[in-house]
Amino acid sequence: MSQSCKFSSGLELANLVVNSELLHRSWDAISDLEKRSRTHVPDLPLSVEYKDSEHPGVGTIVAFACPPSSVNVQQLERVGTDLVSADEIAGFFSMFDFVRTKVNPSFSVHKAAASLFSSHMHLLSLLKEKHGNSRPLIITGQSMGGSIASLFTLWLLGDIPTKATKRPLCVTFGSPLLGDRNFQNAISERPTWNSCFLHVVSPQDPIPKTFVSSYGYLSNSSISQTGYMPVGTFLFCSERDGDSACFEEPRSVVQLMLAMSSELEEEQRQKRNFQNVDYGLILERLKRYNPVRKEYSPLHQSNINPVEAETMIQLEAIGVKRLQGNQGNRMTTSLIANVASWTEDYLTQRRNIFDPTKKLNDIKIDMAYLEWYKKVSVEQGGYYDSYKLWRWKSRDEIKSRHEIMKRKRILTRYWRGIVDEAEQMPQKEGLAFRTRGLYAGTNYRRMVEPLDIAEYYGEGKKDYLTQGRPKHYRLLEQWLNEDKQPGTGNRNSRSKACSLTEDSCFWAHVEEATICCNVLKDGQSSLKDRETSRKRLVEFEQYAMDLINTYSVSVEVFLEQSSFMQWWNGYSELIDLIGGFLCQSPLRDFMKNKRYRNYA
Amino acid sequence: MALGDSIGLKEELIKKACNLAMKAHLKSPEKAYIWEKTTRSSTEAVCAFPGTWAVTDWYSRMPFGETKINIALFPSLKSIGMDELALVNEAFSSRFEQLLCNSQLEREVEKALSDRKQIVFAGHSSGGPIASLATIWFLEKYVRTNNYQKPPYCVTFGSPLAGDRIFSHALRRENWARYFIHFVTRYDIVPRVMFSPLSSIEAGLQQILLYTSSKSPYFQNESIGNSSGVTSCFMVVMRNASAVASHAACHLMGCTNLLLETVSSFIELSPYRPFGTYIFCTGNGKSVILQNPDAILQLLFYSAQLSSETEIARVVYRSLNDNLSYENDLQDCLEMQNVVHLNNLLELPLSSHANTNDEAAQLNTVLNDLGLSSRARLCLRAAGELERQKIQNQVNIDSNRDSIRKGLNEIQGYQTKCEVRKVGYYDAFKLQKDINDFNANVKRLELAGIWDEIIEMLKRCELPDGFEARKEWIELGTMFRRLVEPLDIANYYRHLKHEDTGPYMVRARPKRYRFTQRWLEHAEKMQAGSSSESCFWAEVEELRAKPFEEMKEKVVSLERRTLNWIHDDHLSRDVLFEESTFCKWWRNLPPKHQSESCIARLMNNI
Repeated sequence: MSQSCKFSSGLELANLVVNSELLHRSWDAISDLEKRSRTHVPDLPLSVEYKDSEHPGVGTIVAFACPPSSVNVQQLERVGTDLVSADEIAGFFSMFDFVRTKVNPSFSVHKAAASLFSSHMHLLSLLKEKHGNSRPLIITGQSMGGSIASLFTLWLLGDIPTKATKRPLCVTFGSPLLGDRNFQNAISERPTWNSCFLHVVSPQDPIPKTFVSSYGYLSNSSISQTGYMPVGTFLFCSERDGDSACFEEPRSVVQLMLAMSSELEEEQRQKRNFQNVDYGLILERLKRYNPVRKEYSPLHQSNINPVEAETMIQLEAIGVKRLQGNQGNRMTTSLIANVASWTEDYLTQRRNIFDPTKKLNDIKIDMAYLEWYKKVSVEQGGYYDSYKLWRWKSRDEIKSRHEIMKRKRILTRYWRGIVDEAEQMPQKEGLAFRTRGLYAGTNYRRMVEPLDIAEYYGEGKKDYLTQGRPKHYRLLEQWLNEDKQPGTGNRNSRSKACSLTEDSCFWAHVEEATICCNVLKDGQSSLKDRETSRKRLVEFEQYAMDLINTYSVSVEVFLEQSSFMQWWNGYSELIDLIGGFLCQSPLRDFMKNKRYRNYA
Repeated sequence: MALGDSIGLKEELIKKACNLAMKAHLKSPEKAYIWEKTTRSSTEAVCAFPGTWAVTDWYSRMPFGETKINIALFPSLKSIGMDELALVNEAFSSRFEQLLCNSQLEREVEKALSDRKQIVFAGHSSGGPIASLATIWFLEKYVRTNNYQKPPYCVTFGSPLAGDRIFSHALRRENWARYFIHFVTRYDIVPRVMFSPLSSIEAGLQQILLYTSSKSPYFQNESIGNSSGVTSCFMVVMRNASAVASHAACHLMGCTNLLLETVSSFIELSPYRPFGTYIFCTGNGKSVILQNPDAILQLLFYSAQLSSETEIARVVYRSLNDNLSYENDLQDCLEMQNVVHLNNLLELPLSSHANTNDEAAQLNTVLNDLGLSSRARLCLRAAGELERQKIQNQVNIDSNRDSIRKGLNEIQGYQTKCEVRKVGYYDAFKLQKDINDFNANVKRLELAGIWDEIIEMLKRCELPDGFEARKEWIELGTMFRRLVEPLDIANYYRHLKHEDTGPYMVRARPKRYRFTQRWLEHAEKMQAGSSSESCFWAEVEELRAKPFEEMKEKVVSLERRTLNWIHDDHLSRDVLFEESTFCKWWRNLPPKHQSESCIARLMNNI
């Protein structure tokens, strides 16, 4: 539905999340775990601990912590904010290989998180085995524990089919950002993956912001200065007002963090004293203040559009507007304008996601035209040959040929687009997508590819299969083969000939066989060529016979003027003329006795 | 505009309903219902139902106590095309059904009916859902089925929610929503209770019911009203109301963040939704009227929000007393006549500080008196925007009617051309021999495209609630189905699709035909599935493929229905052409069967 008027709904989403109590249960699990690991010596290197538990009404919660974790900021100072790129940590990246896409073939992640994750592979594998299929499943952690939770969730997502309605949810509290722009792109290409990450961030928490602002402060640049980009949804919450708002659009998230950090630096210069943000306290306040109405400074413009109004309220809700104070007023105005316009763009983009089903009906009409053409061309030797040998005749025929070429063009453009898109999608999403369009796509391939073959050989070229076959046909066929359930095998139960030859490259095989015959007929051909051709002809016989036995070729193959029949005529003469063929074969038997007359 | 005028009900009658509802509650809670003692000459009859006060009278089970509606008693309470039944609170609906079985209600209603009276059903608190169900029962039984000319009204005061979104959708579709008037005072907790799962409020609800029930020893007992149990119950109710309202608002706003879906899969939210007209009383004599159920849902949460944490105790106490103050509040509202009708949600001022003209200022004061923040107003706007969008979609769809008619004319022309040759268009189409067959196929596909788009919109709830009850579309859909579905069937069997997909009727029948058939069957009050004449050929094809002995019963059934369809002109006579697939098949049935068949005469007279 095209909505002319847009809403960002970030306030409502945050409200729903807060009321769901999922955050509170996650936090409880983290607190339990951290209580347990208090005793660690602060100078030891970071390690990974976890606690898994069942919660009635919520499901399984797996919490991660990275002790020693008494003061998260100091911890972070030790491990740094460096990114590490694809090939540097071998084991780690082979595990996350599935994240790559065609558009985003390489990515970088937070080095400390990646090495921590890979050095605890054994522990994490066991955990994956245990909970990979538990649903509902929440995976959570604070600070670096949240980074491990995110990576663990991503690892699980690699095994979950996109069509699955129950996905795990990863909830982090004050966690570092995880990866660079390529990483973010690769994840947001799969909206369902992106939807599994919820990051709770207090404006008072220095950790997440370190990843966008360590080399400078507020500027208009829309990307993070350190190369990090946020993934998933961010729930910013204000302790003072007990209010919160959600943001998903990455540039806005970065800008808001930058705005928060410029304020925070000021505050911290004065205190010089880092304390962990107490998310437990914040969550309590969010809950307590939920039924209380929040009305901040009134909106003044009367004709303000909803997204702008929402953005203003959101910034107030998370305390950014207040933090900026009076002198920051101009900055706030531009921040609101930026966030509002990015949000609007983002919404437009998300709503216009290509919907192939809508066009499918139009495409069926184009197919009907071709089907009709196939039917009427039976009198001219079948649609393959009549298309290949077409000669200028009457006006009407020119018109109808133009019509067919036009339809063929539309269909090819449509399917090439669909196939491209499906191919660009990461493996698993693509697969779901491919199955849906596969039936219609197969029909298209069987109907239209013979015409492409006709054009190809009509121009005197050869070796279509290896030299000329367009990629989208190849992929459509490959996907169909992959889609066949193992075990069901080939559908041999057919009792009647199919209306479209199953192998869309049948005619290319016929053409190649004809070329082989010509080689053998030609006295100038080399011995080697003759031998190859002879071999290929025998293979072709077998191939054709297999198709006939399973009723997999359409009846029109046996029309008198068809290329196949012409091949047969030439071939049978050839056999009599030159030796070297076995004296009998099933196909020759079938053809000589004209059993094809009963083929239907 | 006066309050009574804007809802189409005399103010005297509203007052009478209120007095009687409170009287039922306070004076005769042991009776199943009471009638207003009117003189014989009065043109109205008011019937009020008292509430009941055990927790099990509200929640039959965990978590929300809903069940599928009894469709035999309430045949309209479903979505037609999707064929999904409404959900209703089980405790309330079984109480109503028992009341209907065990009391004189039906007899007394029919008495009032024979006196041509205007009936009003009323109820306070849990008496409200009983009044609502009685009204729907009346509408189904006497208005829809027997065309009684005076539809009843239902007036409730502080009623809990009783039905889900389909319940509300169906009432709007039947154009019955306007007969339901629900009064809600600003903080009354009862209309919000059903947003919470029983487990989270059981103890608190018990206390609230003790406080508000006139039979209870704790009726209006101050210590209960101020107890911590009630306070925490209020907070839980508000949090749940908030969750339901935010979740609904995300959808109203067209939220694209899939986190919504992921989070929703973890939580179970109340299915209950408001229906009918709501009148919110601000408590200082002003009132807000609205009909958009999405907006009402938002208002149920936002109007009861606290303005600061410090007023919790005051508001909680008031949330109980507000449930008992309807007589006074109504009196105030009718005297003040400061009424705002929120029918233009799109123009709602977002700022609480509008300072333009008088009308806007008055609107703003009332909205402020209900405590509506900018956030609340954004949600109301979103509800208005969605409504506007649905209407716009309907306008777009309506503009397709001409192309549909043109397409149908062409297919009709095709049928006629075939008839001239004494060939049924089903058989001709199945052969696809000449260019006319091909052209008809293209038309079929074009029409399918238009209809599929409509069905998609219905599935995504993107059209106004009333769409499936619009006469012109039901007629057009029926015409389309009878004329074009045979071609879809022909295409299906021509391509031998049944060999791998199975019978047409089972898995292959497109939704555009399933939906349109249900539209007609609902509008004409026919038995479900009885208007399957457009699938005639699919039945023939399936019967033809199997030996007669196995299919005997089905053959007889088809023959019987065929006779009626031909007689009623619902099936075109070209199926009877001598060379039609149908006739050829029938003539090969055992002669004994033929001679005994109900269509023997029809077939032999060809």
